Amino acid sequence: MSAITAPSLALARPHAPLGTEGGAPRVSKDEAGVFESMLGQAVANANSQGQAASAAGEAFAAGSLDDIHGTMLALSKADIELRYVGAVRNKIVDAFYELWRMQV
Amino acid sequence: MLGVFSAMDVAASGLSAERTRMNTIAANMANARTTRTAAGGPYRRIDPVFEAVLLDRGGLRGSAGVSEVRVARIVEDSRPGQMVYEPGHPDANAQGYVEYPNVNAVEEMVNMITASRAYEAGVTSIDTIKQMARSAIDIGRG
Repeated sequence: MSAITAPSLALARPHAPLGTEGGAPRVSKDEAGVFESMLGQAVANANSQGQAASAAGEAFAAGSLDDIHGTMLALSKADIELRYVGAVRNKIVDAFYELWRMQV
Repeated sequence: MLGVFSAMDVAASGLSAERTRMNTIAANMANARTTRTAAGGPYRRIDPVFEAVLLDRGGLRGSAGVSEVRVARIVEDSRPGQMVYEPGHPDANAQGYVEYPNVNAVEEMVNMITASRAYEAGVTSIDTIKQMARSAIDIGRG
């Protein structure tokens, strides 16, 4: 693998890196922020579900909430949301590494 | 918010409704021999009336036409109570008959089983929704 990588890297070096114009990256701020906003939104969702679950758990433990299935449902929602965020994060990181390993 | 959560909320509304039904059944069973109430006369058995409430989630995909269940009100059963000849009872009428509540233990047991099974069905649908969500997340894996 490295035998193939090295010459292609050497070939790529003399040329200007792709996607640059006068040294500045052509990728706009909006495009660069896609991963960030995706992950940010997923984390925010998971966080709000987690807080709801935490509040429901506290209220149930304190005895002010007489709703077992509501509490369990809040916990389940938080669990699913967290798994979802984990899956999204893994996908994003995979995509990032895919780009990272890309030969230029 | 994810569509799976609205499905969970619909199932949860069913659980809440069945719990209300269970409350009324417990009240009926507990008051099966109650001859005095605040309104006067013997206890009257109560029943919840359920109504469908259209789920409005701002046109969320897949939620059109889906309804939650809500307890509209709790009604009293108008059937007459059981007249039992007990002249010594303080609530006996002039003829010596006491009117006991119109609660039938067998009927309440049947309702209880129905409520219990309906609750289980609701829990099963929540479990299935959770399974589906996990399966959907697994698509992204690997």
